[in-house]
Amino acid sequence: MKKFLKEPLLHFMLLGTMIFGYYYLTNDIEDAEAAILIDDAEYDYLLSLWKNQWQREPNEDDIKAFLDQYLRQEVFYKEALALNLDHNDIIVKRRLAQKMEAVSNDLNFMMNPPTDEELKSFFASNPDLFQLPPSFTFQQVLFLASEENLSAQMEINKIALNEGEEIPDSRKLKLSLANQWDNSSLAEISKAFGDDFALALDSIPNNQWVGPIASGFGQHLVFISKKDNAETADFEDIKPYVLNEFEYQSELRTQEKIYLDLLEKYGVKITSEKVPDSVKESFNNQ
Amino acid sequence: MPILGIQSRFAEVAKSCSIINPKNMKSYLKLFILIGILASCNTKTNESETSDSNQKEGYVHNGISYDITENKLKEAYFGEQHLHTAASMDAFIAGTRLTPDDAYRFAQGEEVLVNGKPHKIHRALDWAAVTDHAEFLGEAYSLLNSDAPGHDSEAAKAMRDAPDLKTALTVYKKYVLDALAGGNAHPDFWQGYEAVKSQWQKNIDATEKNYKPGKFTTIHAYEWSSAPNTANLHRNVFFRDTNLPDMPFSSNEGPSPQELWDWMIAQEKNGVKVFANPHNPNESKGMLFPEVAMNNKPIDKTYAETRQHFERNLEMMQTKGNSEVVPNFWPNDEFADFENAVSLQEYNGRVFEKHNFIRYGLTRGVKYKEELGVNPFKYGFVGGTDSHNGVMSNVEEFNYVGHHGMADETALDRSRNEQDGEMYNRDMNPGGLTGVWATSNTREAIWDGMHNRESFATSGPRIKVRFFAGNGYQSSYNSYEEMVKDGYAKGVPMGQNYEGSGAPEFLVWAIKDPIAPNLDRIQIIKGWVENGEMKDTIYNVAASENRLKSDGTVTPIDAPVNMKTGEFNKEKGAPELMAVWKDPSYDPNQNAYYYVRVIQLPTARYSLWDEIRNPDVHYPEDTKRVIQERAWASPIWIEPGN
Repeated sequence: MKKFLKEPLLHFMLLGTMIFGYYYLTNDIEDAEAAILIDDAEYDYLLSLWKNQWQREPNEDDIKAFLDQYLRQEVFYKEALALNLDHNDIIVKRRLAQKMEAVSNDLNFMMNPPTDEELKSFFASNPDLFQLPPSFTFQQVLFLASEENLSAQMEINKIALNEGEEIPDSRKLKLSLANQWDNSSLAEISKAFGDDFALALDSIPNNQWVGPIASGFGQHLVFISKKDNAETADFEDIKPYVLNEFEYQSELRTQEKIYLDLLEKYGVKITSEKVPDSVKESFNNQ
Repeated sequence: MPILGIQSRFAEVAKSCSIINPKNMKSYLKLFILIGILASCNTKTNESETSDSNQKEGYVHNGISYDITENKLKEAYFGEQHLHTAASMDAFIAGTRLTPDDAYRFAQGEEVLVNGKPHKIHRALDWAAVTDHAEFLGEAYSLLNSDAPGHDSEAAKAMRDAPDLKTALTVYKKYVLDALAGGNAHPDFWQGYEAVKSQWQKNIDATEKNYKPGKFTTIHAYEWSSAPNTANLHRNVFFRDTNLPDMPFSSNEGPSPQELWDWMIAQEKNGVKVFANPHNPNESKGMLFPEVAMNNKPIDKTYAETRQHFERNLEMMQTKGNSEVVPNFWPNDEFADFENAVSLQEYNGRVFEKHNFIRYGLTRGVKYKEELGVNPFKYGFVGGTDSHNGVMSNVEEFNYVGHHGMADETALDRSRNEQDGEMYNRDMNPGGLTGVWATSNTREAIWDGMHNRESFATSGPRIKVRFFAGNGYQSSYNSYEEMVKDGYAKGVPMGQNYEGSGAPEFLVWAIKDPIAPNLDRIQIIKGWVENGEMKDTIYNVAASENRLKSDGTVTPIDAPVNMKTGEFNKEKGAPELMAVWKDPSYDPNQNAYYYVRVIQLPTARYSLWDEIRNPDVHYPEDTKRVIQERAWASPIWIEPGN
């Protein structure tokens, strides 16, 4: 039963029937024979189109002109429908097909909002999609080239920090640069400190204060607490992206599925000899 | 509430079917009701969604919640606010095939093909906006989409197939310029407004698709490109959220800024949040900062109020020049000779006049404040590229590959070709960048930052600059955090009116770009009106290595660029500069503005990199090889009696 409920084509038909039934009941279905109706909604729509273009209120001549234009289009449209001119018109075909696809895309989401389990299993079976670039969790303390006794200062500070002392207040957020960086990608680190600094992090041992490491700003003492090589993100952290990706993938699947179902419903016969055999095969195998 | 989510999503899809009218809407509404019935059967999903939304609070976009930390000190986010893709017809004809989606991917660091060659931005951006020309969006839709009507017209084919620049220009003349000259707003393959809406929707989709709250922000935007009698009055238009018009307003619908504002008023009535940034005052033939409006009526209070309400920032610099000042009219500004794009004067009669430059405009605005009670030119600063290659803020001199398709794609083209009908390629530059102070990297926060003018322009480097005016600042701070907190607590940031009592103290701070040389100095530029006369002057307020003398002058610094390798000097200058400054001639009864200019030590211009890498390429003698890049922080105004 569950599988049955998930068949997109079925939803399509079900919806179609319901909509048709609804129209039937509310007796609101457009009658091709009826006179052309310009009610408030239609008039407001035409008026807004006109105002959008001209940016002012229309006078009586203008109103007559745009109604005339609309009616001209409408009677020709109705007559064309009556004469079946819409059949086999390539532009009409494309437009209707596009609308159908758009509706089917959304139908999928409406019918099948994914459960957490589905998302998790999608996440687990597509590790490539959710891999994080290499990242570092580290602290840094900056010293400027203009400071007196720079190298001695750095040594003293390094020893103190390695003995567990706090970062001195005067060096917190120095030059506005954060001291603590969590799970930062190489690209982020390059952006903030320059390429040389980012590259240097790779060869530094973890869990001790090391330095000096040069950046575009000066010399740093650095303490790396975590290095992550390319790894899969935590599900909870990136759930919105998983959902986006899931929707996108299932939209593609639904569209393909509906296409194939409809293809089967209508059937296809390729009688032209000019179509290569391999191509014919591929449709017959559907 | 899953149903709500579904409906809004459905509405989006419905919008994307461009033939919707109220009749269809009625049937969609009925569909909603049916869906409602179906969805309410699905109670299980309801429960799980409810418990889920309790766990996560925070930033929500399109029904998805994101865990985003607010930074009270604010961070400077760098981005692009002026860029064209293949959806701008002029870019398409010049050979650009990168779509808005490609452009957003480039901005995030992905490699794309620029004129057939792989290219990457040197450093990814924090945010970006695609601003395709509204005027020819419909044509672009036909050109780009094989299933669109008009795609196979003779003109569209010719535009797509142009193999070289010369052919492209011929095609452009035949199908576009001649049509325009004949009084048609569009070449003959234009399919009407439905096509415009379709391309606008495509741009919207690309902008939504690439938005990653907290990581990368995209902003819905377009360019309104009016140029009466070739006077450039172009404006980029930015929207705060997904409440968007179904079609942008182009200069075909209204060529005067007042018509654009009328449209924006109509948008605001629909709840749309929108502002505009004008660009290229240097090409405006005196019309961007005018004495009379385009209807020949003098600027009045209503004009001034409307303009200030909708127009928030000026584009200080872009590929077609720096619009701050030029040496002709500001001979005492020693840094005025910088990417002035002087050869643009040889085309279209766009001769430089004082009226075309931003410092004039700001001062004229202050004078209007005296005359009308409202300043129509109350602008902050942004920078952009205006690249027609789809390469978002590809601003580093050493990474420049041109901005105009086939016209400037090689070093040789850049050294000797002209940009047809506009200027010499060698007078162009890679363009500028915008920094926005914001509490987080989200669309609303970035938009608000620009709207509040808490934004700054740079000529390319990621220099960060802060600027406050208040009372009771310390001359120095133990920490950055204390300084910023004091900045806000005791005054206002850039982009606002000084509101304190007595003479203002200006707190200014800047740090260098980590991959660029150190900073030379910080200047504050003041403009004011004295007995009806417009005046401006420059104060040096901080300089590296104690070079600022008591008379206010600065000892020059010798930090040469290595002309053989292009390397800059790494020893001189300061990574950070800070000062608290008081105006010695402050007059509380005077209307005035103050803005900041931060000057970096010299670096190689792209022309030098081109010559180093291509020994056969020689730029003409008068082309600059070395430049001093810079940043400009938005003004703070003094408006007595407010």
